[in-house]
Amino acid sequence: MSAILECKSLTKKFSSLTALDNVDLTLERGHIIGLLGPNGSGKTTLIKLINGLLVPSNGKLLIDGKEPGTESKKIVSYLPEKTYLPDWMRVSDTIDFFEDFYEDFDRKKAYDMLKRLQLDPTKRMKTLSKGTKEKVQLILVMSRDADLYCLDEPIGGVDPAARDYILNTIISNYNEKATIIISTHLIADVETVLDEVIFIKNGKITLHSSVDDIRTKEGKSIDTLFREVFKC
Amino acid sequence: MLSKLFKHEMRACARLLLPIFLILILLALLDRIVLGLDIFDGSLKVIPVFITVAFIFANIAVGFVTFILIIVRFYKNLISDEGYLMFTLPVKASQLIHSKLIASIIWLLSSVAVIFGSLSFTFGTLDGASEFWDGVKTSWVQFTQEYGNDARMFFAEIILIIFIGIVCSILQIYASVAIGQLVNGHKILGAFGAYVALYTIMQIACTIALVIAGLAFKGNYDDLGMVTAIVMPVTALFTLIFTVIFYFITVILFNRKLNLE
Repeated sequence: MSAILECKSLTKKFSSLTALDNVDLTLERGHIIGLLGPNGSGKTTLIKLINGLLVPSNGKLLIDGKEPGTESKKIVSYLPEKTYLPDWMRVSDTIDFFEDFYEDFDRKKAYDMLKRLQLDPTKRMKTLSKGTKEKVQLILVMSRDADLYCLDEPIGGVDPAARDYILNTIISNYNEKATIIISTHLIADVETVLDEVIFIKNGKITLHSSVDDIRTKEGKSIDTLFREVFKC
Repeated sequence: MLSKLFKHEMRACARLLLPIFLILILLALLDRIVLGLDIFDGSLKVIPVFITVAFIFANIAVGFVTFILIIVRFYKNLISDEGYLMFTLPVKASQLIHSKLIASIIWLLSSVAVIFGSLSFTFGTLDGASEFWDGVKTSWVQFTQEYGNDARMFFAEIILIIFIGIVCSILQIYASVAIGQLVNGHKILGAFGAYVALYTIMQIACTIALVIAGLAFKGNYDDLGMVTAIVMPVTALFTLIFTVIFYFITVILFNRKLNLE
């Protein structure tokens, strides 16, 4: 099976700043990958490039062999760090909206998760707290049967109790041919679910390895290794 | 996908505009009733005047709000955080623009229809209104008798220019927003700047073209003939050219230079 994501000399510059510098990266299907790095290291830039919200300055990016566009967007499910749902919509409207545009969206799954998290589908988005909005967005994104999930800080705004449920949701809601990229600072929380990690620093990838390899070779947890590598 | 985008766009605008249209219709009804009552004496005569003035302002406000809504919708839905949702849908950037453009034209024309309808409903049957319409009719007859086909051509061209002008103004705003989003941290200011720049370029180009066209055909037509044969077609053509330019600026920038913060 072809790689789900391929970056070749991928570079993104913002006037004077190089946010991503000559990144070569190949991600296979069926993995949960932690994209880890300090603030401003280029995590969000990479995810935005995958989703076509930014255009590369140089190099190439292929999703399932295709450049970002209408076809790639059909198979990528993206959770941005922003609250991006129109605030006048009811939760049920947002579900209708996703169902309208994404063929792989499973309405029943979305309603099951809402129920499990005790969220009222008749509520308007603007009446929800920031953490609750994030839960709704994550439910929408995970209710798709996508090939690649890009989750940018998926648990940043929610309480620890909901974090566990959300991480369980993430693991149990994806199939074996799908890959999940999770970008986060909260490494200890996600460490147990990750298969692979990518360390990114100043727009360059400094480490791409399986979690098992790191544990065997380095004899330490990802969280400890991260703190050492990115020590201020 | 275009039809789905269009459906959602119409719905998002209807939520705000339909209640406003409804209020205007109710005000029209109220004003007509008040104007029909003959019970205001002395200083109370100020009441129908006051209500009529408020009603006329409400009409202006409806037109204004529709136009502002078109701008705000485009900006908020595509360039603010909601842009993360819209630009990751499996649709082309051009489809996003088409859906918004078609919906905007429909809502603008509806607001014109509602305003015209409410005004003629309120004032249409009053004493003096029929004289006004007779006056319009007589002038039209005189105008067509004097200028013949030129007069009909004149009005056909005016309607055409107004329509192209509406589409052009909407796309000019879209292009300005698309240019403005390139400016990190000052997207709205950037859009204003872009609008002024585009407006200035358009005015200069149109003036030059009219002067050239005018000089080239000088003396070959009587006055209205010159207007219908040169001035208005040149204006229409120029507006059309700029409409196309604004469209491509918007599509190309969204495709190649999208810059959401």
